[in-house]
Amino acid sequence: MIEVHDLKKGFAGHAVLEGVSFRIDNGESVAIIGRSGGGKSVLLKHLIALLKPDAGTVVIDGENIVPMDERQLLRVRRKFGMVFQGAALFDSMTVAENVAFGLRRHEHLTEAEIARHVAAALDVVDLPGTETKKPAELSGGMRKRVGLARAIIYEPQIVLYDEPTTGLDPIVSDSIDKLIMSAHRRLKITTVVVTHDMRTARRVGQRVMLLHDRKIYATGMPDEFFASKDPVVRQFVDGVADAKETLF
Amino acid sequence: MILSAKQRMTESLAGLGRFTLLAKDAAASLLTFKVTWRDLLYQIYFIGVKSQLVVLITGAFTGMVFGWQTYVQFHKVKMDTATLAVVGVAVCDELGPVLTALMVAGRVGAAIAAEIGTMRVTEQIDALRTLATHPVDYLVVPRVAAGHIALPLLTIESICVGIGASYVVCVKLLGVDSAYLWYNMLRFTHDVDVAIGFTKAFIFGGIIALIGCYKGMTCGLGAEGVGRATTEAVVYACITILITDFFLTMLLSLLLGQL
Repeated sequence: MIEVHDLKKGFAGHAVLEGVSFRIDNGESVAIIGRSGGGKSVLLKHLIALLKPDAGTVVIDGENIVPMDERQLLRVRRKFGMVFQGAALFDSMTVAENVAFGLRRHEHLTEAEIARHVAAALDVVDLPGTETKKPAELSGGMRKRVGLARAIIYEPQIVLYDEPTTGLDPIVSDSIDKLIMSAHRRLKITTVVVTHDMRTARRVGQRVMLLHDRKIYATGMPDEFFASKDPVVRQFVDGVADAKETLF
Repeated sequence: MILSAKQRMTESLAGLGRFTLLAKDAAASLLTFKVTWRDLLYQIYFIGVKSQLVVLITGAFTGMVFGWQTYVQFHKVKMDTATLAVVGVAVCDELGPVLTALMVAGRVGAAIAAEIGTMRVTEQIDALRTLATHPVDYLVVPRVAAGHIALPLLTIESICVGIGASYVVCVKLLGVDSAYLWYNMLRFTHDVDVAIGFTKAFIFGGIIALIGCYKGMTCGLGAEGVGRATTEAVVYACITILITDFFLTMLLSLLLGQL
């Protein structure tokens, strides 16, 4: 279970999060939406302690991870998998080495067993036979799928997705959405997706949260959330710019 | 951005603190053998084997020039056969470890900072952390350990080649008697000189790798940040080597009874 209480974070005197609080239950799938530059990725990075808050707590399965140092966090992070916006694949390694990284570091498996797990994970993300390729040889969508395979191969309890469909065409986005849903269902993992793609939010989220004005502004089931009459929610869902933000 | 003297001082001290913490973390990790052997071997290959050509050329030509210059002065006082003794002591104590370290700092320090800096700006270091891997264990420790191992070996190569090249210049080009030349070199160059060079090289190897890692892990964002980190890694490593060399020379001379 993830519990965030009164989280505050700023950079160089500029507040990004001001009193963010929410709770995500085990096995739940939540989409966090918000404007670009609104602090969604910053919030996601706090959940796995890649960033430390200025104030507030992040509690994972009853443990507050904020005061932990990097070595103590290693144990907590084994519960997590994370898919980065730019995939963040290790560019000096092949696809197989990237996907097998977590297994090699933390599990005592033979090379044959690792190869079997890697092949199965690549099969799940529909990239069979790409083991020997380097990340530079892959398209953006393929890289994100390899990132997903790397995140789920050791069957974590929680998977965090940072803008999983940004910059991808609608067909590849659709396949990524399906992969996220399928991983969520098959592995019964807690899923947190940060996105500004309404279609992705609607499809993968059992619950949708809107981060607006440095706080969680609204939260609800997808049907009720997308039918909301609240002007801020409506403006974001319909994608309408303010008059003062239009250029011409 | 123009910073005030106070801000510069504060940033320098904060940087020194971060560097010290990284060194402490790396030492703790190294002592608990958290190093991956496969990574360590690759780094020894990268730092040691791939630096050989540049180190051998530097060692050979430094020995040749130093032999020639020493002969020119010693010839005036009819001490031609003492030339290689001076070369031997100077190369073992000073020129071998320092020049080898400076050349490796230029090649390896820059490469380490660029590689780790690129990993930082492309979120690969964050990816390591999400995969429950400590960046110091995975990135810093194999490089620092490899630096400690590779640099003494490169220095020994450089010393041998430097003395050999100087011997050839003295005997073949300057016509000095080879038997007395060699005898004097063995008489005045002691085990302690080799031990001093070896100890210095061991410490310099760690310094080069640690500064490269630190600059890479704390580099600014974007291509400019990586470029600056690369340059600073080489400059800081070279300056640190030269300053450390003086204090090591003093300390080792006292400890090993040269004074």
